[in-house]
Amino acid sequence: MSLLFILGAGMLVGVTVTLAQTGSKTWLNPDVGRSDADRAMTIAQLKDRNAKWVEDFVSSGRDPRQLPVVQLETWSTGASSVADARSQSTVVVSGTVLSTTYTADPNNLTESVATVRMNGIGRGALPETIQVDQVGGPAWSPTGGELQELQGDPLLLPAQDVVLLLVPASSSSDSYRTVYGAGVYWITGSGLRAPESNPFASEVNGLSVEAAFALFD
Amino acid sequence: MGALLAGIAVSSVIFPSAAYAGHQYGGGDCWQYGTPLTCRVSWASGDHHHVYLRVINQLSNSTLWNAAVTGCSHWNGSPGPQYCHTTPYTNDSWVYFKRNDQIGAPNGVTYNCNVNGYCSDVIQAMNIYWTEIYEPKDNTNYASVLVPIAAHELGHALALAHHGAPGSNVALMTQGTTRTYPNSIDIGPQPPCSGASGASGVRCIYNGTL
Repeated sequence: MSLLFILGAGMLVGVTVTLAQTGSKTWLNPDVGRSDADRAMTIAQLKDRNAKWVEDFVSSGRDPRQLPVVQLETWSTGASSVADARSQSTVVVSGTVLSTTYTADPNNLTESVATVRMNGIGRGALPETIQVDQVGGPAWSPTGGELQELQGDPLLLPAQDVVLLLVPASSSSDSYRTVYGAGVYWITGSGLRAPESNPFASEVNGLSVEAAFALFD
Repeated sequence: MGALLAGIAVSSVIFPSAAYAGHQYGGGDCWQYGTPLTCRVSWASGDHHHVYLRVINQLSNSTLWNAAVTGCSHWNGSPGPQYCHTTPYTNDSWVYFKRNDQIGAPNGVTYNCNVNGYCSDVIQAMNIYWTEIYEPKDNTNYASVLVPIAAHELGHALALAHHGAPGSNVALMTQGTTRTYPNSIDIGPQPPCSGASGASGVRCIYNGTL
């Protein structure tokens, strides 16, 4: 019944939109008259569909780099200075992203876990490989999907060489997460490159890994 | 499920595109001609142009939830077309407050979803069907910004975008705001959309006449 309602409501609203282009603009809530249970079921079904899409994306081995990146804006912009980033981080490392996995949850945001091989350690003591947890990953969209990441935390992707400022993800795990807003720097042929959203990118861009270690030490 | 997907497929054809070039999402004007958007499907034109939100607790944390309720009440008690309740209200639409402890505190993120189930960043122009607001438990370690974060994210649920330089605190919709109430920038002037471009507030989005 509720499924038919979605279709019916969609057609009704579509008609309304069409009318709006020539007449008074009005809008009808597709949920008017529906029970809370029916409304919740509709949302749950859509979220299940979205989670299934992520699972299919992962199982089919699709490359997340093929998806357009969408940043999810947040209340915080994160660390605002080198000193801020330095004080927030407990570990500073360089490494190579070996692989990433994505875990879909219909009741939450997709979780990304990157396995990173250590190439150098600026501060802290770490094993040869570590896991970095991030919020985001592939997400369903009507145009074939998108790669969603938090505004201040670019998703790590396989084969990237990076410098990372990290903190333990929790006291009960061996995983890490990046310092928000200033935790990820890509290593390129011309030195480090910070994401555009990084507030002190100009101080970091072009640095060598060793110089970056010194900056954040 | 097949019927649902069929419905979604048809709706995808009928409903406006999520991205709408030239549209000042967050700056307002969703009620005006020239855009198919209304910004929140539960917006009711012709009835003083109200929009009703119902916040739903999925936080499993009373401190976070109390802040969410306070933020909701601050929008509800402010001028403008918006109402915010914890209880059912005719023609309401839903805002889930949810936990994601992987997000570093203090922080919050709003995930707006349209009737096709497309959920994305708040800057993506869409007719919002439901909203999910995520906060980490560790926000409770930052008592002074608990209500600002909740109220700020509720502004996104109303289709408002960020306003002003981060940290400038000029409005509730400024990133990093410590404000607990929407101000004249967030609400917007009367008549709706008569203010500066990009600073039109929630009145402009819904043609709020109150």
